[in-house]
Amino acid sequence: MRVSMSTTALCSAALAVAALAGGLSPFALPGAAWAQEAPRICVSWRHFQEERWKIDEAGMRSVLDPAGATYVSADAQSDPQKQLADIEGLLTGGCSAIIILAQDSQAVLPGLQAAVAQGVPVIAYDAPIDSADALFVSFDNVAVGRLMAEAMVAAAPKGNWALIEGDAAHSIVNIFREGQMQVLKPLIDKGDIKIVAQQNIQNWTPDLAQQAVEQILTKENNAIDAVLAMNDGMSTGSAAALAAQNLLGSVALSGQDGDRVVLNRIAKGQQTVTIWKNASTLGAAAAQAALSLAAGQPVEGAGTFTTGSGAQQPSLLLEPVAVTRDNLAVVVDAGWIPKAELCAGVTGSVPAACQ
Amino acid sequence: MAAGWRAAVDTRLAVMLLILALVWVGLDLLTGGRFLSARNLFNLSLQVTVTGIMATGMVLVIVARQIDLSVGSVMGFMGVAGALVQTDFLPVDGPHTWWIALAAMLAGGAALGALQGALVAYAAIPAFVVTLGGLLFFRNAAYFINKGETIAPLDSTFQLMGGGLRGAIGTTASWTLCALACAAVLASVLMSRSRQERFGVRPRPIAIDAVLTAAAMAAIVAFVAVMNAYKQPGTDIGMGIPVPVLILIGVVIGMSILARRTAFGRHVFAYGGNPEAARLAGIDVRWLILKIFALMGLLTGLAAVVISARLNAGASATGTMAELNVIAAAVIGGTSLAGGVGRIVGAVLGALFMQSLESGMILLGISSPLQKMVLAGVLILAVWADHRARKAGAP
Repeated sequence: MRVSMSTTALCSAALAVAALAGGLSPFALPGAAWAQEAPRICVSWRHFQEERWKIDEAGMRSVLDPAGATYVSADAQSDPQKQLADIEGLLTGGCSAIIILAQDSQAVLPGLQAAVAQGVPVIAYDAPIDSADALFVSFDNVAVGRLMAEAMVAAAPKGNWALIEGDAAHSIVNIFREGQMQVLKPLIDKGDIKIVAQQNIQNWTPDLAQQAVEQILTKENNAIDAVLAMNDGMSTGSAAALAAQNLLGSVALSGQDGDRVVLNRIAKGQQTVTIWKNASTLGAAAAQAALSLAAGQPVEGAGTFTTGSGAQQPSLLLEPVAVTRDNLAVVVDAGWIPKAELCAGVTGSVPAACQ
Repeated sequence: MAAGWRAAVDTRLAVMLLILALVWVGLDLLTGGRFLSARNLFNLSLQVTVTGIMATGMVLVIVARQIDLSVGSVMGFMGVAGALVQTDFLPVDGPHTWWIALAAMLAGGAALGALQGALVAYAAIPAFVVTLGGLLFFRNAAYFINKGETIAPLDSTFQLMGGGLRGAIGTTASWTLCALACAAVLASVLMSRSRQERFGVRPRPIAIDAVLTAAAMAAIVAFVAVMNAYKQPGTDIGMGIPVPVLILIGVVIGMSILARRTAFGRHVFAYGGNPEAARLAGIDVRWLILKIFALMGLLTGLAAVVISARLNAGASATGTMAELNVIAAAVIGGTSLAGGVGRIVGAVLGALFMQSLESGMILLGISSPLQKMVLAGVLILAVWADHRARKAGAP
């Protein structure tokens, strides 16, 4: 989980707004005005300068362009007020559906209401909007924890595990842990896996993760078989602590984000797994959903997601990818990392992706 | 004789050492002998370096009635920038890469410190505001310059400055340094005595000097013995003193001399004690403030070298909230937030004290929110005790 510098605040006021808007579900209404013409899919970005969103955009266009749909977008430049104006502007220009990457899950609600009032379906992209009226398209964070634990169990089916978890103040940590425990709980109960240490790392900081793993290795006299780190930054800190004990590569190590340095470590055999959320796939899924909603059709594979305030929201949650030594090719094929960078410094046993 | 002892020993430091010793013994008992193992003390000495290096600078900043909230962010920023120097501008593992990166990080840190110092001194913006801005600016700049992507691995020579498997000097060199340090202690005591005689000051009773010298030497020997007792994992080769710990020791000695023996140091304390009097005495106080912040920046750059070398990565989130640990170390070490009072060695002991508690609590498996709560309580308690001692008129 990449820790974003912006904070999204969920507030009880969202409840009231959600309740007000609740009566008008956009999913029953087709984007009538535009149904005859080529659909116009509007996108409101929160901060398009960040490299990451260009990958999402490419994913969206890979669906929209072949379908003959028009893509229009606006960039809020991290300003929630500008985002509202952007949404108004996009709606005025005409939208068959609108995809919103909210800067602020609460401040964006008036924009959502405006869209709903005009019968334009709304997709909350990647970041939640606290309302029952948006379709939430994101990665499944429970699956993140589950896939991470599964890959780690494959590498270290028995023994002593250390859990390096994210900041205790972030509720997402509990969601990741829930997924991990779906896999680990039976093995812990059976006695195969013993959790010998568990530490939350303030702000997910790599240097604090390094200190924690140093202390855990000292406490257990290096009898650690797996370090289940929740993101790649902390896995980098854990790797440094393991390296100082000559244990790098012999202890299973996890992460999340698909950081390039981590992918390189996996290629070198120094890390077991990182959970990768392919932004291009997410963009494509959102675009597909937008086209379905614009045509008044149901979204395939949609489930229900409970928002921070308890609203029941339709959702499309994608399964992330566990990247291990065996499937490293997926990140190269997706253009996420050049092969040369992935395979830099790989010696000895060379993974298939580097051959 | 009792009066002689009081004059010879810094009571506050002695009390701190005593409390630290008690905490160590307590943690050792609770952890079944793990805390005072060579391995854990080796860890502890490495873990304290980053906060310790910056705390020596923070003492002068606080003594001069300023504050620097930006050090954690500047460290994170310089860590990423220094990693980029090694990977994007120079060949990793090139013959000159390590020292060019080192020089760039020191110079960059000093420049950013000087910039903030100039805003405080010449633009008359309060240091709290300037460095709060710095905290936000440089943390985000750390994300911005490489889009939040971690840079690794770093140059292998550069990595030695962070300790790690090869980053210690070995047993022979450690014992040699130990002998040199003991000789230096002895020489300085003898020189000080002969100086006192020359100027007609009656030297301290020889028994007191003998005991203090013996204690200092014993501490040095014990420290080196512990560092040598920790073996490279899976071998029988002693590690010796880690490079970053040597850096910290060098910084402490250098900063102590700077603070107590140079005009700059005296001006800092004079300004902190009474800014108006210092100004009237002809000290260029604006230039002085700028230099203090530049020095803080230089030390922050050095801390960035150690932390990124230790992590073997330039990562944007590195050192988040480190400023609070640094300030707390200085304050626990007896630096008064009212200005004018502070000791370099005290701040490093303060850092060691906090790191001991934190590392010890991880050994005990105490959860991180509880750790922070304990540390917060200790901070308040330490400042309260210090305040009481000062009021009671302890020297």
